[in-house]
Amino acid sequence: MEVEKQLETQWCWAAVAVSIHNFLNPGGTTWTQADVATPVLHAEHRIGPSVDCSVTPGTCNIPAALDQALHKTGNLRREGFLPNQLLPFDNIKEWVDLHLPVGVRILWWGGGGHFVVIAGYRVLDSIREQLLVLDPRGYATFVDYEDLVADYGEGGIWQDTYLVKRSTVAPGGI
Amino acid sequence: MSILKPQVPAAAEEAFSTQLADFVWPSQGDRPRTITQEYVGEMPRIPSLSDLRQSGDAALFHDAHHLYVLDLRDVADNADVISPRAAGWRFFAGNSPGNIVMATVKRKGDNWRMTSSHYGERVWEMLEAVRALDQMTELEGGKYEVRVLTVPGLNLEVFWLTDKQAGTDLAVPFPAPPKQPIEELNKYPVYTMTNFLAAIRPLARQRLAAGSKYGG
Repeated sequence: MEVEKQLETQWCWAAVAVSIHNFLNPGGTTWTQADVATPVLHAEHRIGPSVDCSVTPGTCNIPAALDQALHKTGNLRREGFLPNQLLPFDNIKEWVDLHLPVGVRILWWGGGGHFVVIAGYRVLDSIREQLLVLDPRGYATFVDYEDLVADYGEGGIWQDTYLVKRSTVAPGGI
Repeated sequence: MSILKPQVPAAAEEAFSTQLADFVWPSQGDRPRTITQEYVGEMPRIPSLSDLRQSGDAALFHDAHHLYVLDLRDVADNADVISPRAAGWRFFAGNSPGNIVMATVKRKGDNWRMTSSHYGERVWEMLEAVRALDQMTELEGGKYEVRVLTVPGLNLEVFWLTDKQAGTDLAVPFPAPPKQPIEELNKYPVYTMTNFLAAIRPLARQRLAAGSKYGG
């Protein structure tokens, strides 16, 4: 799978949600980042009722929650939002073997959060456990498991986990 | 402008050159190894060491940059004096779009370790942006060391040019205007560090006020 580059500086949550939806629901209606941003931000009263994020994306350039975005696209599993929880490597393997990505919230040490997707794993010589992480900032990254947990990127920890499923929800359907 | 090469710790360079093979695709001639792997959807397009070598770059490894991290709290509260944290070194290998890797090497205890490798369009764009610094007329006459300064909480990276003559440090946003996604940094190609910090301070305060399960 691929993760779309986030179209606004604070839209990692929208980019991750639509990438997961569009991968897991091929042939269905394709969501855009604005399609998910508008209802999520409306539901939390963080933008005015008449604002349409596809028309004025800058107004909607706001951090938000991935569980809300995945709920809107219909891709969040029941009890799939696991706050303050990370997954052991063997557990990640099980999800990837089912061809289901895993959403992760990185908590930056210096403040702020960021969402990424685990989309693969590999074990080198039965020792080095690595993950393929797709980052909506525009990177694909191989990272040692222990570093995703405790020292991702420029300095952050794996804070929350998001388990997903296929859905049949079309834009505007919830 | 003259760009001064940073003094890269030999142990960090060694970690990169010896561990890069663990972060790329195995190619014919590499030492045999067992790999258990699975991916969601198709296997990603990751270059091998051979791909990196075939890209017309005799050196294979080049362009190491010292990586510094500026915390949101530091940006929000600073009075023009910041204390970014040294977070490791970034190395590039390869020399063409698709056949390029950007690696992060960090100090872990007494040792240096390659912790991740990045691929994709943005990596190539960053290498091109580094090389474009040499051509910037705004920097003519200066003598700078190039560092990378990131503000993870704002998804922001700039080239931090530390002035070795006059002492006025500069910030060059990446991507450069007009593609810079942070509107406040989309006006000029180069900012003094003071003006750069003033431009992003309101955004940092806004981000710090965001909810605890939010991300951006």
